[in-house]
Amino acid sequence: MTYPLLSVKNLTKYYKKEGSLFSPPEDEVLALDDVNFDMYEGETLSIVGESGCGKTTLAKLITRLIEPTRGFIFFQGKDLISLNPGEMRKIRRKLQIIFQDPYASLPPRMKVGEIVGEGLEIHGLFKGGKKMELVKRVLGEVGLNAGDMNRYPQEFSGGQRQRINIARALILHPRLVVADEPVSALDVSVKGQIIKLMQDLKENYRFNYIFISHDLTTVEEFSHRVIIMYLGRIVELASTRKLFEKPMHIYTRALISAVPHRKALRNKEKFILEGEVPDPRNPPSGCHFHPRCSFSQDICQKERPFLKDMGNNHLVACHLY
Amino acid sequence: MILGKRVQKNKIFIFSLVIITGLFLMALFAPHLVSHDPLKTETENWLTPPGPDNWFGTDRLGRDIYSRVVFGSRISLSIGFISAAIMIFTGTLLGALAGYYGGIVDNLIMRLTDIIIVFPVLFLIITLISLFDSGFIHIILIIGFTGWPVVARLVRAEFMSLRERDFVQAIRALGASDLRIITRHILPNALDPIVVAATLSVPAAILAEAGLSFLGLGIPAPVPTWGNILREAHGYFRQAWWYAAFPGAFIFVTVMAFNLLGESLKDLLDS
Repeated sequence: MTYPLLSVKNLTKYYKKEGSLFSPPEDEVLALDDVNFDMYEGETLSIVGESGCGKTTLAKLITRLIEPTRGFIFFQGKDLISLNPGEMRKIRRKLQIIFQDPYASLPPRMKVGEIVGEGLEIHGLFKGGKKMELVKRVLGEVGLNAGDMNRYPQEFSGGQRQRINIARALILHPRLVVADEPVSALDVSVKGQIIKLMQDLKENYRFNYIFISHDLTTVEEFSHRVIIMYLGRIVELASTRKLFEKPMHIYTRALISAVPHRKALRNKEKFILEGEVPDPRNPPSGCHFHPRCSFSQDICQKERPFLKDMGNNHLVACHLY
Repeated sequence: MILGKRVQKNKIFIFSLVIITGLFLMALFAPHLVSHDPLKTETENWLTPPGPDNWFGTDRLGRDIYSRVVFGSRISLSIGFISAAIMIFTGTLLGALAGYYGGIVDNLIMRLTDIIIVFPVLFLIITLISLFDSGFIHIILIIGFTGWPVVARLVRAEFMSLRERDFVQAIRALGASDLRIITRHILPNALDPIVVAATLSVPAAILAEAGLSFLGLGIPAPVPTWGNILREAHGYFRQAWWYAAFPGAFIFVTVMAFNLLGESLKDLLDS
């Protein structure tokens, strides 16, 4: 039986400040609310949403850098949450993350060679000269020079630093790379290069990745499926083609309307988003999107819409359907 | 390197370093620097004012104060350094554990530091000394183990903020063990404030020893320490100003030099 590479079930995360003897616990912040999806070998899955919708929380949960409040994560059929720290450390080799901020994500006092080679050392794979040889090769593959090994991260630009981050993740030959907005901090001219690089590397290294972005246009070209998130919930999940051809959720339509010069929508209806993303400490009742939705009905305020399959694995969470 | 240039420019840093080096050499070569046996009493020469034979004068038993002050530096400096080392080691270890693991570990360690901090240090030390009697080793241990909470709080705060930084999370995502993360990634980046704290712990320990000796709870009598001499001088301030002035000046200069060194190090490492 083939199981999904990654399966996320009922994943929920509340952030709360724990109370102490003298201060009561503070309000819970809803970061992720009952998120479910599967990801299969060979596909590139994108997760798109405005800031504060829980994208980064999801990335950190999948790589188990934080613990969920509820729910399960199955990676290659293994329940990650139930693993003890030792087992988890071993599996991390197959499960890597690339952070958004290329400046904050590299240790300031280590040379690039040590940074990139550290994974090999941690997992006891290679040491010394053999390690350095591999580091050199990976650096070459991400477009850096062997001579860069002896330089410090501060000497590199944002784009180059993101290349170092990619090299550090790939040297372990992971099966899944979670890229948390890897290009959003970069100049437009560099963005394309990094995305192209990740595409090329995907062919060579045969890894799969989850690409997190706040920008639909970035993900359109290379992702197989797209998840649209709003305030901690998945509102729509479809193949990229379906999503752009026939977006269903009003929020998705608004996001696509916001993309300039989209032929497909030029003559169709335009959806302009009004208002702001509500405070996650006090999310709206029912459908989280209802205060900003022009089609809002009574039921939207009362009941939470769950994901419904509209055919061809096009899932949408909206009471209109 | 740029740091080297900034060090050269920082006059206070150089000045305090010169003084500390001088004090060190004095303690190291003490036997070669004195003309009198610091323990030898010449009662007929008691309370002689400073002169060519006794540079700092003599004490109530006719001992040469200069020799006693020079030998006293050995005790004061070694107590200062060893106690500071204990403070830094204990404080860093416990602060790192509290800051990195948080939760119940943090709570236990921080409540322990709170307990030690709420006691006035001197009373705590006095209580401990009355329990364990005052030898060199005991004094060092007691000063060291009452001084670490300040360091622990500092290190904890540093660890708490570094733990959440992306580059530490990235190492965790690579599969590094806690030990590796703490020692290879967080500690090296927390070193600056620890170095400053170490420098400032030395004068604190020296002052604690001087205070204890002045109260008669420090190193027992014939051995000269700066605090001991001050204690003996008590009662002779009017007749013999030199009796208290010289050991007092050495304590002052030493503590000031270490404090200046700590402050200038902070400036150097911050910028």
